[in-house]
Amino acid sequence: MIKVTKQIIEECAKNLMFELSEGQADLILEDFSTVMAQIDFLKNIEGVDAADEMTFPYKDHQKILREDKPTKPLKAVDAVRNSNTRLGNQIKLPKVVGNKHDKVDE
Amino acid sequence: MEFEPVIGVEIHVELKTKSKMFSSAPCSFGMEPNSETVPFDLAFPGTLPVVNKEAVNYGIKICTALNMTIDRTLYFDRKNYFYPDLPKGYQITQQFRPIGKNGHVLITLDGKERRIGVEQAHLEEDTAKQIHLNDISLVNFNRCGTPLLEIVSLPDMHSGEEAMKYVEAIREIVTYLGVSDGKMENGSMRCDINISLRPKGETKLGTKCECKNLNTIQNIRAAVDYEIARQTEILLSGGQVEQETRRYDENAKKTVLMRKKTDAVDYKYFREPNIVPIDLDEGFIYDCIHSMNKLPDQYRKELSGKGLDAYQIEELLKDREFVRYFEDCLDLSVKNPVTLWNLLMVEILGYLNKNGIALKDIRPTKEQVVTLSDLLSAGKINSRQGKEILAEMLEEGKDPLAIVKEKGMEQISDASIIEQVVEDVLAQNAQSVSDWQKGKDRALGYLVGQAMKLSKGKVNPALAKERILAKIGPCGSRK
Repeated sequence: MIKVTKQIIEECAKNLMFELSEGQADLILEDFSTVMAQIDFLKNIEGVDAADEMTFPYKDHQKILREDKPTKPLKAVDAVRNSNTRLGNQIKLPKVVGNKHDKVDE
Repeated sequence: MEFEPVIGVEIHVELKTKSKMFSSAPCSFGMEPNSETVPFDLAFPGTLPVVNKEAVNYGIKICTALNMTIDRTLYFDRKNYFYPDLPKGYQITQQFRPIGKNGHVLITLDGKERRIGVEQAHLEEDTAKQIHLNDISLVNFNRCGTPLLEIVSLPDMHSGEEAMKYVEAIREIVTYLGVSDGKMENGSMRCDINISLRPKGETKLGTKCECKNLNTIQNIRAAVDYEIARQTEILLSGGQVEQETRRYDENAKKTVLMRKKTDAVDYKYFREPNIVPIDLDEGFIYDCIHSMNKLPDQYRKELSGKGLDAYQIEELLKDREFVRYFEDCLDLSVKNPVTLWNLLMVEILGYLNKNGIALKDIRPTKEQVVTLSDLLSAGKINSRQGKEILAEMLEEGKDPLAIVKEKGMEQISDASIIEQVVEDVLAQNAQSVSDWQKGKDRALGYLVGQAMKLSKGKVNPALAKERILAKIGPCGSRK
């Protein structure tokens, strides 16, 4: 399993456009260390790999589906308001297609 | 060494719902950028997905048409990745429990029926549309969340022609069901094709390349055939095919490298915790299946019993609007389906193409079109008159019987009148009669033409020809 380092945390924060202070990165690293230690502990429990995942704590199936009725959408100007960089009503980003590990619009 | 191409196809079908897969935002094509979103589509905190009933209905219909087993419980999963086309950071899909499994499609290849296996079909949401310019990318979230059904075939195909026929069959099914536009050029149906080669007789699959951006049916065949030739050349020269994603360049008519796949991407799939499993009501499934439109194969069987040949049937099936119109006319007891076909697929289609209008918008009613067809097939009017009447029906919305009456067009089929006309023609054209009897076969057409002229186009030409022949005997009888 990948070892979480301060460098990885800072890189993730940059990608997510979060500003992190020195102290905050250290705090997150500390939290991650606790979580990873817990995962290591769980991994060592006998038979854990054979156990089904428990996404839902008890069987609570529903039968309800949403009727196909559209509601009033956001105005385009409001939809893109959170973005710092825009061109008209579209969100403008640096072009990333073409780099080695980038996903291409599919 | 001889190689066997192995081809599998993944098709994303955009479902024609009014709202999105997990949100109530409207979804329609060609709207102003970012004007069709609600907070869920933009991943605003506190929003939750709710499954669209109509998308499930459409999914069940497609799965049924593809002879699949339908899962009675809906489960959804998260496909995690970080990219601007999905602001949540994951796509909601059905990785582990697809709505449909183990189906097949029948196609006809070189006159033989082939069965192509369909491994699974799963419901998911579409991503945002990006436009890549010189140094920037623009993101439009209108498409983000549009319902998709991804149909995954088994690697059962072995040529570009076969892959093309398979995609054609799927497109026919989804458009006839009325659940998708199936327009590849608009992106409402998108194909990814996996192609690999292996030595003939080998069972282990070779290294595959994925081919994307195939926006026409014809490009599928061209891309697959090009890729087979490219990989064959690499293998014959002692090289190894690398696992790549490629796209088809329509202008260069070849596939070009998009990216190499050095490692499989780990999407860290896990069950979507925000959608609890949904048990589908048996009554709902029954209604979905029993409200399905007629499929092309059903039409093929029915129409072949109406005197149409294979070409005429396939031409009709190219557009569901036409085949339904034709079917409605058959229900109105049209006398001769072939005459109706000619009227619809030659004259009316020509008028529609020339004027850029849809069949549903033409002025004459189906009853009037059937009346015209019956007038033609009964020989009461000739084809030239039929065209003239149809033109007035289309332009002015007039009734065909009224036009016939108004213009005195009804053909004369009365034997005694025809007899008189024929006798007059033969008396006035002794030279042509003599030419015919000496073996000049063109003289007969001239004599029939004279009968039409004398009767001002009203005499039934088939009956006139019959009477003329009865009187002048066989061609060359006095050589």
